[in-house]
Amino acid sequence: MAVLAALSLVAAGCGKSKTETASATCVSAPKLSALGSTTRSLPGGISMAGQITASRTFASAAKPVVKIGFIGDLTGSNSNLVTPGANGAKLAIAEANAKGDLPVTIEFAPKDNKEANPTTAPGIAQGLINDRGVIAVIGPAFSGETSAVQPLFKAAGITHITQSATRDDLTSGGFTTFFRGLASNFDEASAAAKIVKKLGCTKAAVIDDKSAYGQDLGSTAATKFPFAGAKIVDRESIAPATDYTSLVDTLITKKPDIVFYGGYEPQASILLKQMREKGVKALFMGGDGMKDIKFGPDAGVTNSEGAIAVAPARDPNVANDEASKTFVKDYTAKYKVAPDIYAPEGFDIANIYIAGIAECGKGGASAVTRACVLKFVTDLKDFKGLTKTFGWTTDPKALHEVTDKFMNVYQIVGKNGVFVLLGEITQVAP
Amino acid sequence: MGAASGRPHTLRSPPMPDCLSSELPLRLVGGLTTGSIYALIALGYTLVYGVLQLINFAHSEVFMGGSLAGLLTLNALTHHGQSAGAIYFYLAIIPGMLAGGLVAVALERFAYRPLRRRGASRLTYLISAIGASLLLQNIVLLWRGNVPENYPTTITAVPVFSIGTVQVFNRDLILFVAMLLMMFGLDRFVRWSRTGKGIRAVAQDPETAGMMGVNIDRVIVITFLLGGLLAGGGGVLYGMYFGRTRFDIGFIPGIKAFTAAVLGGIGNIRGALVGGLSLGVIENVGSGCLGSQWKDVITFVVLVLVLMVRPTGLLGEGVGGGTK
Repeated sequence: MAVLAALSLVAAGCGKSKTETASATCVSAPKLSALGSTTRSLPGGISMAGQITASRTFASAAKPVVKIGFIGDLTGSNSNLVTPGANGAKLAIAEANAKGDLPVTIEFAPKDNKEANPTTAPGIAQGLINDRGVIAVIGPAFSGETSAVQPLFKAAGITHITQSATRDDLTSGGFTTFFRGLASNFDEASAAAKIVKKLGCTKAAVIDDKSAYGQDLGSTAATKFPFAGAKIVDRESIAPATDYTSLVDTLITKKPDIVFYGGYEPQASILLKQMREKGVKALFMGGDGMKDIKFGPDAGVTNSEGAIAVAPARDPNVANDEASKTFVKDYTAKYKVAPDIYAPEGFDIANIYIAGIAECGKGGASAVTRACVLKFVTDLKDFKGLTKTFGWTTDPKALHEVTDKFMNVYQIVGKNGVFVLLGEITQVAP
Repeated sequence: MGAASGRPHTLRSPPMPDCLSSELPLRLVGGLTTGSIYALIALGYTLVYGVLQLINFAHSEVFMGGSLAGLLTLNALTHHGQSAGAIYFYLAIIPGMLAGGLVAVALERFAYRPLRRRGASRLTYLISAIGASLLLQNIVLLWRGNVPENYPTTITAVPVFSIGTVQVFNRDLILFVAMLLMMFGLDRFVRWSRTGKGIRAVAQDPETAGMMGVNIDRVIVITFLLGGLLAGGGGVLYGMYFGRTRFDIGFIPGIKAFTAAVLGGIGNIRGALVGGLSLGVIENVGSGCLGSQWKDVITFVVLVLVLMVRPTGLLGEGVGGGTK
C-alpha cells in the first residue's frame, strides 16, 4: 500500500510526472466510501426521536436517562462533514443501550448549529447545559463554534471532545473540559509540507477562507512550506465567494506549482473548478475541510483529478481489523450508506463516554454525573478506539491534544472525482 | 513598459508595477467578463431609478430568480447536473430572462405600486425593498436549502485566441457578446420604440408625460420588466460562467452592480454599461496590485470616491444617453 501510494503521489506531482502507469495501479487501491447521497433528512429524524423519548422519560423509564449531546452543522452546506460523526455516535449509543449492562439508558441529543455559526453556538451549548440530563457533549464539529462554546462548557463542568475541530489554539486557552480527539492544524500543515517536499514543489500559493479553521491552517502551512523547499508566491485570505476571477488571475500570473487551500469543500471545489477552467494546472491540496464526497462532483470530476487532501481522519472502509469491519457493516446496515469522514471518530468518542458512564455507574445510577465523566475522560489512558488509541497531552500550552496524531493522505485518482486513501503520511511522505 | 532590463545608467521613472504593465491584458479580460455581469444587473437599477427616482434594492433577487430558473431548466433538460451541450445554455437563458422579468414585475406590483398609490415617502420604498428582498431570499432558502447548487457544465472552456500570453476563452466571449447584444437591444428599444419614448418621457417629467397621454403605470411595469429580463439573463450567464447558485447568490453582484450604476451615472443606460465594465476592470486590476483579498474593498472605495467627487457618475444622470 505504501509503495502504491508513493507512486501515485509522484504521478500527480508538480509537473514531474513520469509514468502514466502509476495512476493505473492506484485505481485498484481500495475505494473510499461509496458515492451515495448522504441522508440529509437524518438529523431531523434523530432529534425528533430524541424528543419523543425525552418526554417519556419520567413516565416509563425503568432506568434513569442520561444524555450525550452533539453540536455541529447537521443541515447546512458542510453537513457532509458532520452528519457521519453524529451517525457514528448514535450507532455506538444504540449498541450500548442494546447490551443493557449500564445502570442508565443513554440518549443521544444532537443539536444542529446550521452553517457552524459561532454566534448561534453559545445558545445551543447553553441549551445543553441547562438540560441536567446532559452529562457530556461530542463536538462542536468546527473550530469557530468550538471556540465560542469552550468557556460555557468549562464553567458548567461539561466534558466535550471534538471529533473534527482542528484549529491549533483551541487547546491553548486552559479549557480543562475540552479534548481534541484527533490531530490538529499544525499536524495537517506539517503533513502538507512533507508532501510538498516529496513532490519537489518550489512555488506555493496558500489561500484560506478567513474562517477560524481555514485561516489557521493556511497560516501554519505558509510558515512551513518554505522549509519544505517551496517559496510562497501568493498568500491570501478571501471570505467565501462564488466569483474567484481575481484570485485565479493572480494564480495565472504568479504561476505556483501547488495551490494549498485552507477552508471547506464548497469554496475549495468552486475555486479549483474556476482555476482549471482558466488553465491553471497547479496541484491542488487542502486539509480535512475539503475531504468531502461532494468535492469531486462540485469541482467537476475531471477538474478534480489529482487533488490531495490531508485529514486526521481514519477511513474504516479500508481497515483490516475486525472492529472496523464490524463498524462498517453495522453502520451501513443502519444508515444505508458507507461511513464517511469522522463517522468512526464520532463512534469512538461516544464509546469513551459510554465507558465513562459504565465506570461511574459502578457507584449506582446517581453517580453518573458530569464531574465523574470529566474525571474519567481526563484520566483516560490507552483507550483503544477504532481510529486510534486515546490519551491526552498535559502540556498547558497544548492541553488535551490526543497523543496519537496519525494523519491520512487522500487523493482523487483518475477521473471519477472520488478521494482514495493513499495511506498515512508516515508511509506516503515520511 | 516593464522592459526595464537594458540601459542601466539612464535616469528613468520607477518601473510600473506588474499589475499595470505585464499583467494588464490578463486583468482586463477578467475584469471585462465580471464587468459584463455587473453591467447587466446595473441596468435594472438605472432604468428604475431613471423613471421613479427609486433604488430597487430587491433587484439582486431578480438576478437570483433568473439564475435559479436557468438552473431548474438545465436540470430538467439534462437529467440533473450532468454536462450538456452549449445548446442547453442558450435554451436556459430564455426562462432565466423571463423569470427575472417576472420577479421584477411582481416586485413592482406588490412592493412598490401600493406605496406609489398612497404617495409614500422615499424611505418607505427602501424599507419595502429590503423586506421584499429578505422575503424572496428566504422563500428560496426554504425551497432549495442553503447548499450551493451546481450549474451543469454547458459550455466547456476552450481557448479561442491569445493576446500575448493571455488566453481568451469561448466563455469570456459568449458572456461579453451576450451582454453587448442585450444592452444594444435595450438601448435601441428605449431610443426608437414608442414604448421607449414613453419611458424617456416619464423619466423626464412624469406629470407632463401623463397629460400627453402616456400610460404611466404601464411604462413603469415595462421598465421593471426590461431591467428584470436583463438581470435574469445575467443570472444565467453568471451560473454558466462561475458554475453555482444559491439563495443569496444575488447579494454581492447586486451591490457591485449598484456601485457600477452609480459609477456610470445612475439613470443613464449607457452609464450602466460603462460603469459595469469599468468597475469590473478597476476591481480586477486593483486586485492585481493589492491582492485579490482587497477586491470588495476596492469596489466600495470606488463607490465612496464617486459619491464624493462626482455624484452624477461618469456619464451623468438621466435615461437615454445622458441628457436629461
